Formats: sequence, C-alpha cells, structure tokens
Amino acid sequence: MTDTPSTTRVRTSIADGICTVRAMMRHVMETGNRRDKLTGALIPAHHITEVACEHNGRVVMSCAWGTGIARNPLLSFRFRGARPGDVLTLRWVDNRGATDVTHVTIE
Amino acid sequence: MTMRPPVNRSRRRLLAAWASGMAALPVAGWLFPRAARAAWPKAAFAATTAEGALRELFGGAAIEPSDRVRITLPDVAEDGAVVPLTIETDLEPVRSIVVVSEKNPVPLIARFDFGEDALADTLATRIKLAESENIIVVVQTPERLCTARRYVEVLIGGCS
Repeated sequence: MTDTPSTTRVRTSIADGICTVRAMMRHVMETGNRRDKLTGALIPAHHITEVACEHNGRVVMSCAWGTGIARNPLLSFRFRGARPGDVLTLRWVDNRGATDVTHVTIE
Repeated sequence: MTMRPPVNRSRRRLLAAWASGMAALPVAGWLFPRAARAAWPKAAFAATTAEGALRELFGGAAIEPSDRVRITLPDVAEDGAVVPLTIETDLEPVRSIVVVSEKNPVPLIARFDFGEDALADTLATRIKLAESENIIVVVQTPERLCTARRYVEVLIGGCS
C-alpha cells in the first residue's frame, strides 16, 4: 500500500506481538478563547474532535477530543496482535470537517 | 418585471470543472468512517464542571478511587499549553479512559475508547491546563469505574 500524503507522523515498534504506536498530528487546536493580538478579535475554536486508529481495517482505539489537547497532538498507545507488514491507519476529523488519513506499514 | 443579472458563463464552467474534479477524487477513502467512531459526546464537552462532564458520560454510576490507575504529570508545569500526560493501569479489559480537568474552560479534555485488541496499560498525550488544578482520570471497565487524580501547579495558563 502506498503511503497517503498526510501531515501526521506515525512511528510503530513491535515487541512480543505488542505494537507501540506513537503518532504526532499537525493541528492548531485553537481553544476559541484566544484573541488575535492585533485586532483583539476572538480566534474561533478549531480542534480535532475524533481520532481513529485501525489495524488491518479494525478499529483498535478511537478518541473524542475537545480543546484541552495540546497543539500538534501527540498520541501514544499499545495494542496486541500486530505483525510486521500489517497496515496501521490513523484518521482524524476536526470541528470544521477537515480530515486526515495516514497509512503506515508496521515494522 | 425584475431584471436578472447576465449569467456569468465562465464562472459556471469553472464551477462545473471543479465539481467534476471533486467527483474524481477517491472520496470514500478520505471520509471518516461512521463505524469507526463512538459518537462525540457533545453534552459532556459542553459541561462547565468536571462533575457535570462525568455525569454526562457515566450517568450517576459510582466512581471509586483506585491505586490501579496511575497518572504521570509534572508537579510544576511551566507552560500550561503543553503538559505531557501518561496514564497507566493494570485493569483489564478497559473500555475507555476519560480525562477531565478541574478548572479548564472546557473541563472534559478527552475520552479514549479501546477495541478488543487494544492494551490500555499505557496511554500518553499532551494536554492544556488553564491554571493550577487537579486532573481527574476515570478508567471504565465492563464492571466498574475507577479513578485517580493528580494536582499540577501551572505557572503560565495554557487555555487563553
């Protein structure tokens, strides 16, 4: 499978059939409480709302996020049953409907 | 009789070209699959207190403090905008882990939902803290809700 162009970086490592996933997404994660320094206007909230991580097409972990996740979100977790060559897919969607999809081959 | 403005044909052609171009994209692969997500808990994110958010998520179910939920956070966070958080638990199986803040403008920070193959033993992310406050973590198993909390001193708030 070819890797999809994406702004997300995903690193995987396997030990004893357990895969550790470390993903870094690129997103402003605006809270909606910040003001533009020049105009004083409120900057509207803009944040990732949902993340899903699939292993060979099955969802292993999903997230519901608000504005309390830091800018350029980091996510690290583990799951069982991974083998080298398996495909891991990480998707997110934000509150404006923008999406990002990343496919990586587990090594 | 009303006068209609002349039709802008080049604009129409542009729109048509754009529409056909969009149709040619492999849209299906980019859509966020409905099945992949538990519904985003809107009411819980709208709650203005940590207790309110937990009530929206778990109803009135009892949440018991447990030393099987361990939270790693800095004692002092210099910048509240980026605070590393690690949650560890030996509870199994875990259905979800919820992170709530005591004083953030939006108290509910995140819910993480785990599938059958997931190990919820170690989960890490980075969060924002508005001021010095407690972070409350709830781990949900099929039978119960276990919680732990940890206080973080915040030097510069990260939510404004």
